[in-house]
Amino acid sequence: MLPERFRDDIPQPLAQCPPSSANLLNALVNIRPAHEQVSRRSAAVTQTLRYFRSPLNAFRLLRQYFSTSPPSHDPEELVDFSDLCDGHGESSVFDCRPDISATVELPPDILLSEASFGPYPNQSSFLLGEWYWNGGRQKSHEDFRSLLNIIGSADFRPEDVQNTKWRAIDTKLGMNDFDGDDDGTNEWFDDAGWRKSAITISVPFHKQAKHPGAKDFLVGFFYHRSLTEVIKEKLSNSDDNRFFHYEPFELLWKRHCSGEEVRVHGELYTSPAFQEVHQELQASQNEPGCDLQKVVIALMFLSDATQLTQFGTASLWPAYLMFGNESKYRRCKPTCNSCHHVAYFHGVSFKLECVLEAILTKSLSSLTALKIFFENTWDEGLGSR
Amino acid sequence: MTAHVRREILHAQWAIMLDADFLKIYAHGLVIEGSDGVKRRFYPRIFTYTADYPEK
Repeated sequence: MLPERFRDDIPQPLAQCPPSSANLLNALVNIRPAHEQVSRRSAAVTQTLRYFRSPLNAFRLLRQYFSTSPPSHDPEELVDFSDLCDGHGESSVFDCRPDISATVELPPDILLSEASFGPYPNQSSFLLGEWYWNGGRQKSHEDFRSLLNIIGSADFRPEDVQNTKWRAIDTKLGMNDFDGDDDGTNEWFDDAGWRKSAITISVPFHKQAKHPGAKDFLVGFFYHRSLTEVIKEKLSNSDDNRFFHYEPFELLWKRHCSGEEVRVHGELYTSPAFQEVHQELQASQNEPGCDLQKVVIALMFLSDATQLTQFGTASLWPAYLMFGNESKYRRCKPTCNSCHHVAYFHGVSFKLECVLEAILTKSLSSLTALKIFFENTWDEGLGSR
Repeated sequence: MTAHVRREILHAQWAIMLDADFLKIYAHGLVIEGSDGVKRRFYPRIFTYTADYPEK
């Protein structure tokens, strides 16, 4: 056998956690001071809390769960070799990008109604529109071939596309629920779509001001999605749900010689913070009449203002949401689509900055200036409706 | 004044995001059936917030 320094160990997933009693440590809570706090809070629950361990893998890593029963769902089972390394042509289970090259073959007996093409009046128009918008910005030979396929197909009817109102369709495609429709549909749709809400802030005026006290002003409009609906959508997606870690565990590395165990940090669901919140939730009262397993959904928000142009001041301030129950290796794969847009923050606009500047330099009385600004914003917001 | 307005605007937007629906599932959980066909009660918790703070 080669000396260790010449060996190149290939990545290996964590050993699976069999629900057998062979790996059961039966260790009681109170021997671990770290959990004493929890045990005192909920004497009833801790009676049955135990450690469940997985065997060591090739890198001497093991998982240790601390709960009443072995984990009910193990996402590590799904991880295979191709998920652990890059550069292989093989597809991995993490790779959930839909295969766009595959064309959908519809059974000939299914008669598609005209309504099924959305804003497009018929199949021929839809295919052309789809080719235009989804084909990428630069035209390639491949794009050209797919265009030829569309118009060369026996199903393509030139008379269908002659009277299509492309401009109106594009406007409709770009519309949001809150833009409202001609038929007066409501902006408060119950889905994970975008919403538009007015932002009101309270501005205090000092005692010597003409109108002292706090006054409410409308600053602008906030574009955001319902967090509840985003979470619902995420959890209902079975592709994502399979990879969700419902229960935290400790990742431990066992030393070769001494057998000493060292905690390994890396994922949110192996962190002490997750463990703590998880135990706290388990110790809390159940919802009346409900004995379902209680699971923590770890939300990770991130936002950073982005300059949109090299020159000029156009910028956006987006906020994203990621789920800490998913592995970071999954979160960092763009094809997994696990980073969710949740909002575009509204900053202090250039106009408002000018108004504030005017107040500071005392060229305008503060209340008048703010009133002018906020009333303008109100008009702009209402104007489109 | 600008700092006050900046802070108020950001907080007002977070107040809109963390709406009544969210607070309800934060406290009482959200029952969803997983890919294994088992129903569980999910409680969202905010762990990290990585962001630029508009102090100036």
